[in-house]
Amino acid sequence: MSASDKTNDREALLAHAYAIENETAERYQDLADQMYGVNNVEVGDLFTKLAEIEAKHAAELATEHGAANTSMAAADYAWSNLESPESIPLGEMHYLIQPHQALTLALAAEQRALKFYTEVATQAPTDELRALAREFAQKEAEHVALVREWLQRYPEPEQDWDVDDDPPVQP
Amino acid sequence: MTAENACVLTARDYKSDLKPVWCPGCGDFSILMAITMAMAEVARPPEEVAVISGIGCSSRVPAYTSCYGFHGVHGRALPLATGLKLSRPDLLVIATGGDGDGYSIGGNHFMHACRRNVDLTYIVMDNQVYGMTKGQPSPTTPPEWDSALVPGGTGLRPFHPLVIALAAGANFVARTFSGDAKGTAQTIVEAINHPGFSLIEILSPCVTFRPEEREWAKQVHPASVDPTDDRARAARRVLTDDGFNTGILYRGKRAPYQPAFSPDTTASVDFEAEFLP
Amino acid sequence: MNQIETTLDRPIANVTAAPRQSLSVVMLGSGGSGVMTAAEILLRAAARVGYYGLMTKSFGPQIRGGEAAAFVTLSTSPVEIQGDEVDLLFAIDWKNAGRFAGELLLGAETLAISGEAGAELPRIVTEPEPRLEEINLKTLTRSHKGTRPNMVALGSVAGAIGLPRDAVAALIGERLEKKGEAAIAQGLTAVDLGYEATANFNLAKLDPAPKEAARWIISGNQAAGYGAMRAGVRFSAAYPITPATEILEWLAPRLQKAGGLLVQAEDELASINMIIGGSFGGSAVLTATSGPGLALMSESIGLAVAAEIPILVINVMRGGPSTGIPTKSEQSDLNIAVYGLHGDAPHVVTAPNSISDCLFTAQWSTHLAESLQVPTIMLSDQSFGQALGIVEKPPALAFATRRLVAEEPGENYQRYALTASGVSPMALPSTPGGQYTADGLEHAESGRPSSGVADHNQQLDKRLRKIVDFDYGGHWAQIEGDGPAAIITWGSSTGPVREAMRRLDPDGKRLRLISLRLISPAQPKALADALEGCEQILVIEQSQMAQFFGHLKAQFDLPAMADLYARPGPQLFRAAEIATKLEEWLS
Repeated sequence: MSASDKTNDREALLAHAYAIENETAERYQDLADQMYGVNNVEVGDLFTKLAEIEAKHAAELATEHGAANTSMAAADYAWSNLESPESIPLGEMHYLIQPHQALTLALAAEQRALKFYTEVATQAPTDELRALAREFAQKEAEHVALVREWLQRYPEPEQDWDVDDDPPVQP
Repeated sequence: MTAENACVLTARDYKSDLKPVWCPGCGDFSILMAITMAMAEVARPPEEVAVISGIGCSSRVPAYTSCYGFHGVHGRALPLATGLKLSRPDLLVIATGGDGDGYSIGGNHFMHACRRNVDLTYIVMDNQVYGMTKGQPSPTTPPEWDSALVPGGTGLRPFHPLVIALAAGANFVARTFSGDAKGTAQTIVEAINHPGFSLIEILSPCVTFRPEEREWAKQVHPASVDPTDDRARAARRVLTDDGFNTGILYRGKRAPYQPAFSPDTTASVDFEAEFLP
Repeated sequence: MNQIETTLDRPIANVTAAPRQSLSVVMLGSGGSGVMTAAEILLRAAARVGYYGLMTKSFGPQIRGGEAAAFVTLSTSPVEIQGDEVDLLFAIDWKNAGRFAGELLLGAETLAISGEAGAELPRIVTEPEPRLEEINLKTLTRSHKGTRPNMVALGSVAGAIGLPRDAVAALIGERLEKKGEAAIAQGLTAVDLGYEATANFNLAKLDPAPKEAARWIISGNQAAGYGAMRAGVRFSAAYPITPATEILEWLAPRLQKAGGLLVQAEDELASINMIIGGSFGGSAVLTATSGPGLALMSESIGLAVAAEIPILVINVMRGGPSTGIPTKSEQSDLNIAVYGLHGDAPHVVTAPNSISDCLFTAQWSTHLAESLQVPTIMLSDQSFGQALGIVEKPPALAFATRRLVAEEPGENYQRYALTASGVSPMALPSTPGGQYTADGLEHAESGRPSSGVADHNQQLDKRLRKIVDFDYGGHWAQIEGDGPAAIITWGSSTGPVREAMRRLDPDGKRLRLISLRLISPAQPKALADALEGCEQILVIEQSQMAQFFGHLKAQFDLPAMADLYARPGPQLFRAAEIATKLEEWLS
């Protein structure tokens, strides 16, 4: 199911965009919670920041475009991937994940979102829709740039990044 | 929920504020998401849903929902769920647990629950290991998997839950993958709506004790055939597949087991006549 | 502590022979002879005439064709124990009758009738040198078409003890109604042949029956089921086990009739968890089992303690340990009932002290479970469960309190809130706002799992306090007499003790009986009050390791001077046995 099939009108596009941003914000927040739960505070803070950025984006969609007034059944969302394009899959996590790795995953997620909107921007049937999609793609491009910039602040992880001398605990 | 403020329930409404203690990367996170998404779709209010579990990582699910829950003892989720559903047919009752809880110590109850066919949905999060107790083989673990408790591997043929379920009489049998949260959610909705005993086996990687299971994402694939209502055909399919086919395997037509239960506990009982000589 | 030794090999002392107020009859037969049916008709006929009575059964291990012995004691006053000595023994045949040695106590006064002409009599019959008579059942039944030996036996016994023929005839008519007039006629002929055959055997007859009072014929198992239903139980799950299965079979159709349900489970682990699930949903529930099943259930009973879920578990005790002696009685499950849960898991344990007390105690036990949100284990035993008694109609009682339910849980509902009584309002599923997860894990007031010091202490204290601070009223024990020599006992030992006391101390001035109905939580103050003024204490129980004595010592501050008489099953105590012990003890 391609992006264009479900975004053939303004409302659909807005609904999708709103859903993407909200789900992504929620996903980042869930991941942040997971990280704090395993005392991986540095990455937890990174995810918290990303959650805030996505939530802000979603709020902008609401105020500037009335996205909150759109609605679509959950089943109608047809992502090309198994999950929302901008969400980091839950299965990618590791309790010792390093900032560089976390941001690499975030980068990939933002790039997927960028790709999604870019496709809509080229395939949408009307000028208005293509313009809107370009606007969204631009926003995602900004996110991509931001994450790239953050990535540079963190070195690649050491060889022994996932070494934990203590055995697993039996709770 | 009154008519005036009848709102659409979202997945979030079915989550409690308790943060799961699972290891980041655990497949159960996605499954929890799928469960709450499914509940939102089915739209029974949280107070009318009961989530029943045994012991294990995946059995922690009830407290992570905002429904009524029962975290029982190891292996006994299904009889708990059965007793509740038979005496409270008005509730939506879901049982959750893992492969050790469900297929090892719980194996007998599993078989008889399939046979009894009470209207329940049983969600098994199969990670092919005992996670909570630090990594022992479970009935579904491959025979060569080395562990501290069974060095060199069990050498035993793995348990085949879908086939056992079919043979014992389950009315709905499906297999999904935790990484496909939406597909899993859809399957859960169908399982709930299908009358009788519904089993959903969800392959759910344990990133701590079976990190190789991260590869499952690459190995699972939707089944290339439609669900069948032919029990024997379904059994043959699943006995001959690679273990990574996802989708609904079987939808049966057995009538669910639900004897009448509407006691008036305030009415007095009088059996005196039979004790008079 | 002085343990009074005994073995059963010693001959019974010369106690006063049973007055003609009561008669003890045994009917023997094998290979499908139908003695049980005959004895049951005898009992019912006696009940209709107005007698009290007790019928117990003993069998060989075969499911079909084995040896069977029916024991019936009839009396003009309540009967709780079979007579010491058999007054009348009727054997349809003697095959393998030696298996009942030790249960069949004949004496010189016994009338032993052999229905098997020319048979060699076993030693258990010949040695005591009873009066012997013979009736040729084979000849009789052959010369009267369609007559059955057990019906002739019934007539023989009924006639010998003086039961009016009409009472027996009426029952024959009812039983055979469906089979038609001819069958009834044959049945009556058989009975009359029996009456004729023993007409001149000169057995002392029963005194006339007392004035009519409402009487019931009921078994302990039936009484237990009925008591639970009176208390509101409508959902049960169960797995068959000797000697508890009859409770479940009695309940199944009657629960259904009352709109309820009994589910047969795949094992005891399933049955206990099914009822816990049902109780979580709001129903009053029960299951019934025996020792091996109770052992299987113990983990999950602990779950119900921790999650504060009311359940009733009726344990019909049998000979232990392990598979033990399934068809015989013993009082050796006290320890597992009271102490058998892992962790500090306080719960209630009760025990009826007679067949009809099974009804009251089951009702009371359900009420306790519901009111205290705690598992209650009721310890009945095989000797109650599978015996039929002619008893006074039990009074219809109702307990006022119910389960404390959170009808309208507030914003911040705490399932396990610390309350003054220790009992917290329980939200039932479908009540909005009451959602919580019941858990075997230790938890905070909210129900959230917790391993913290404060939570564990508070919840342990709450679960203990709620049952220890509860006022159990006078039901905790049955106390009779006020003499300075006290006998403390429980369960089915009560009957023989009572009978022995009746013989030795009819005015109740020398002896005092304290039979505990509440085994746990202990009531040390109440026992101390009950023992006020006692100079001697004797504990009597049917357990080789003296479990009850140990429990009294540990939990009740039993005075050091207390004596003990304990022995295991499979034989019940005999009244004469207890009377002999008491005489020695008192002197």
